[in-house]
Amino acid sequence: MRGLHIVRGLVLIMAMAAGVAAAAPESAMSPTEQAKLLESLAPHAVVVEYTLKYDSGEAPRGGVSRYLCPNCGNYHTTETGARYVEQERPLESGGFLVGPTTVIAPDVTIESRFIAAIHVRQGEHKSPAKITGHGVGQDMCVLEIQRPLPKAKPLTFTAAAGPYLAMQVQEGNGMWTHTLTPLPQSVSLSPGVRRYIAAPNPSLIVDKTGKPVTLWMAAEMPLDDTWKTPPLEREMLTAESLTGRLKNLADATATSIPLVRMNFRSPRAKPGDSFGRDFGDDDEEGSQTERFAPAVVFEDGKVLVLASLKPAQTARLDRISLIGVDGSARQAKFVGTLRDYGAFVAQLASAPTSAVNPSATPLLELRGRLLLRAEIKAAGEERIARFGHTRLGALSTGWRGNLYPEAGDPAFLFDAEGRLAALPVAARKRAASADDRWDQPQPLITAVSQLKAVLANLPGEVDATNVPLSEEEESRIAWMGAEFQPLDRELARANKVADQTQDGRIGALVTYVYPDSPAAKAGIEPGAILLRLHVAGMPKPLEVQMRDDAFDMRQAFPWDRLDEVPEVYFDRIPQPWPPAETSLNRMLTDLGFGTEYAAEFAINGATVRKPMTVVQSPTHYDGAPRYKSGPIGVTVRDLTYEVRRHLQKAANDPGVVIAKVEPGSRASVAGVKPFELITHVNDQPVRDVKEFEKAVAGAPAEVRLSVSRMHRARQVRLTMDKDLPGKAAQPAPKTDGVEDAPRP
Amino acid sequence: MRQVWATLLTACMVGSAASAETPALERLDFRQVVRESKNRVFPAVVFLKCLRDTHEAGKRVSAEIAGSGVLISADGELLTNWHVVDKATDVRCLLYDGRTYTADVLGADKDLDLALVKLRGVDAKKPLPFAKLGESGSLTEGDFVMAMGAPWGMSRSVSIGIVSCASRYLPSNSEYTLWIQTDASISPGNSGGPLINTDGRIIGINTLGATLGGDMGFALPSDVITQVLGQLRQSGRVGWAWTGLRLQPLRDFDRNTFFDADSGVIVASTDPESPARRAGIQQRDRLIRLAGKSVNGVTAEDLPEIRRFIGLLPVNEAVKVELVRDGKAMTVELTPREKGRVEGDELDCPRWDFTLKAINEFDNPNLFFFRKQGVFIFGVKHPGNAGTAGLMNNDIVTHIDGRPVATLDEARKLHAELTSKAAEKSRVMMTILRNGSMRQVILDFSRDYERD
Repeated sequence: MRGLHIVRGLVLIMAMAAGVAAAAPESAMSPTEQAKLLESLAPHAVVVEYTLKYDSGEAPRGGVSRYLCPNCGNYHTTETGARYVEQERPLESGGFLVGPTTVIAPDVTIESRFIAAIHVRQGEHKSPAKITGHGVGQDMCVLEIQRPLPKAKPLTFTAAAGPYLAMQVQEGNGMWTHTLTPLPQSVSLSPGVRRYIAAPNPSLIVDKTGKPVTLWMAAEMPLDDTWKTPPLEREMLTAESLTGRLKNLADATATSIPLVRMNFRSPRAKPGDSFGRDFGDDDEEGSQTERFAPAVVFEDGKVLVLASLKPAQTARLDRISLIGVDGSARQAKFVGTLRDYGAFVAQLASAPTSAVNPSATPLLELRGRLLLRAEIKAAGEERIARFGHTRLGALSTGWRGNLYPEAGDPAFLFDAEGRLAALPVAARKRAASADDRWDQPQPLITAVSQLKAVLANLPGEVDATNVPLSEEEESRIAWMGAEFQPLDRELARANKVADQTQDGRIGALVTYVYPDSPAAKAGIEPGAILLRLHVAGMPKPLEVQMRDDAFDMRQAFPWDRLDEVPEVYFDRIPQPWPPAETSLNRMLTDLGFGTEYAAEFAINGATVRKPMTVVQSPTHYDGAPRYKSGPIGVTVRDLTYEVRRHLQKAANDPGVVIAKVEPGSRASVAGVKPFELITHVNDQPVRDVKEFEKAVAGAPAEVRLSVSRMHRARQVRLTMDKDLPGKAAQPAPKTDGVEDAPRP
Repeated sequence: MRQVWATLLTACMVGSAASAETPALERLDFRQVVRESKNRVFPAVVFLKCLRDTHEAGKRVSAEIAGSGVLISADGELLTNWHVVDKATDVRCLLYDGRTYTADVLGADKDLDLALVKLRGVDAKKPLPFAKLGESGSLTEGDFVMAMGAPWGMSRSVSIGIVSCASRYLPSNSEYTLWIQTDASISPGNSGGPLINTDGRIIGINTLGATLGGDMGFALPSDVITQVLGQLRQSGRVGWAWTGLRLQPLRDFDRNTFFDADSGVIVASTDPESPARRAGIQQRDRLIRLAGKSVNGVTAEDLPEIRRFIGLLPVNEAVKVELVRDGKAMTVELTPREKGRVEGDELDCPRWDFTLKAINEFDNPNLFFFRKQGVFIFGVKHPGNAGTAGLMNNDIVTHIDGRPVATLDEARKLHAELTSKAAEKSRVMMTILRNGSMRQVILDFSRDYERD
């Protein structure tokens, strides 16, 4: 590995010139002559040493986590700067003297906070140095050394005539090696876009007598003579000026890329929560009530919040506030979740105080150029922002043909003028099979032009089903209308679908079909095996992967022992019926209501695709209308489809289900338990919570409830005219001595 | 609760009632009273050892169980608990004097936990010592009683205490009877033994004990035994009548529920497809008279007697029920039917490594709720094929190898057929209901877990 590439490995992807060695025209010089020439050039070459250090607990890094190996074409994990610190040796790169104390070397984009010292070395002589400037168009930096090196000879450039030779300084096997190659003349052409000569770089270009012409520090060399400009005459930014621009950028982004606080309604308590109820179905963030993320403020008051929320979480989104520098909060209104990106858009009520200035230059044009880089993260309410400069290496074609930098930590990229060029937004995965659930999409550095186009066409780019919902609606979920059992190896083989299901790793067996449901309408019957979903516009079929949750593995619900459950554990009783929210229903919900898809089933050995549409399920237990009666001390919910099915209640059977019993309440003292049904109040049937509410409305002196549990029932009479349930009046026994009567 | 208590009490208790009416109480020699009453019953106390087929562990296991009993006739009839002789394949009895007999179960009733056993080959010329049943109804709290039997298998034991409560209601232990609660020491092994009074009469059969702390034992009152003994002797069972009525007292302190009425009993609910429902009786009705008898369920303690009264009505004969609905009196006709079996049979399925039991409305109401006629997995053997396949207790088996199964006979046939062909096909698809939801389970029985 050449020393220069090690530098690149740390800072950005090396834009390697292809075919450097291949482009060897007939050389007029003998090897001896070439060696001689190199020897005469050697006093121009120096080695720049960067001594690195840790900062804020972070290892030195320049911005990439992996890089494309120029030799093998594969990605390698980069050695971090930590290696140099641990090995007690400096990071080195080759350079050339262009004045008695001036050195030009490839640009190092390690943030200055990680650099402890810089030295320039030639042979045994060494001098401290500091960076004084950066090339804007060319990948170079200028260093000033404290004292001249005795044997060094600065370069003086002349516009000599060709043919030219290129001298490169490379490290290998602990030695610095100088190599001379003829400057290639082969031309590359991207029709209509660019034409260039792939030049060895960085290199000193000399004529055949050894007269320096220039230093070339970029991958592509123009076909005309403009490359001959001496390096110090190229566009540069002084170190002070770069520092100033970074400072300006820090100030500007403090308000144009602030943190946003998202407040969510608390998720609803679910029975059995403390027993680790089915945690796998919830996203890690699924139950968050507060979340912070950076957001980009645009001039029109649109705010792009860089948080990828799933529909279930967006449903509870309550408030969006931009946090000002002084900690003040400014409200923004939700506009829409981007369908294809892991971000959502909000709108400020009035004009923003500051906004980003988007760059119009395509990313391709920015390659190799000096860019400003901002890493902005939320650590809770604390905004962590780091600024530095960087350069883009090769771009690769990514999602939908867009161009992306090949690697890089998520960061905001700005051009040298501070215009936003790219930002860290991931492509959104709308729904994923269980297998893919945990591979988070890598945040990509996406060109701002790409997102501008999306923001300009918002109604068409948002996911209409990934929106904040009212409390009544927040539990809505899609369904297919069937109950499923996850397949396993044995089941797959017994049903002869092993080849369709990766030997039972995917697929689910239909065990029940709800009447009039989408599955029923598609003619699905128990025994069919759901394999995968084909969704229009999704490149990869969604494999159906369900798993047995706690419910399936549980033995019968302990109806008989309900009376033994102490009040303090009421909330922990797991619900008796299967949960309506399954991974399949969640996946369908994530696809969005109205999405057309084809469900692929194996039915009696044949594979069939049933066209379906994602529809909302009927109200289920979690989302059922509820009513809390304080005086009685119960919260009741409507009997929803899955509860009716489990308890074998017909659609017109009266009843509301007791979802919660307040410990110590009248109901609790009367022995009423969670998951029992109230079928009648004061002898009148109650069919839903509205009827229940009406029946207990006013201030009745007494409430008589018919309470049923499975197939048995009992009558409960609550006296309501006393403060405490324990003091509920008991009519004096008028039967004389019944209680004390001797037993037969 | 019942299970725990009953099992631990596989023992009997005997007690003796105090002779409270003795006029010269202070002059009575208490040692003499205790000794005399003890001597009347003690020779009639029997130590039972039974072999029982159990299926809980997923296969048939013959287990030995020990309990107590008391002879009530010279020709070798003895009383013990149903749970002592339940499913017994062999009953051995050891008498006080060291004689041993094998015995047959003449009759048993699970609801009262009572069994009548007869010793085999009793020499008519040598009558056996026996004790007489007394009147438990005359007991009051504080009366002295003695428990006799074989606590922890130690036969010929006697302990003394008092009646702690003469009419204890244990909601989860028998719908038909109250219990005599005593502090006479009662331990596992006392089950089936007598509780006697100081007259030397059997006033109860020790049945239940508190497992944790407290000196509490519970005995089935002799008055209830007297009511059903004839039926047990004649037909081997108590032919309970069933109406599907579920009753609730007028005043329920535990649940803080009090109805205004002074008499009658509240209908909590009626079972689906029951005579009560057919008769048009509805929940919330208040029953006043039933078959000409006033029924008063003022507190929960009154309910067992009412239920026993209904349970002992002749079956398939209509009786009049007077009730009050919405303040209006009305009369309906109720025709009780036979209650029938209260527990399903069991079946061992070797090689599949589970046992099945028939669903019974009374024994497994929560399974009956999902399937009226069927079989369920009673025990899963570990390690074993069923356990490996993921079958669990209380899984209702609806299909085996795609063929419907509703009875143990069908299951037995399929088991025999499929296991005999194990060499060719050693996987069977079981369709089950778990928590009311259907599942398929592939049972691979190629492995023989019993191989030595």
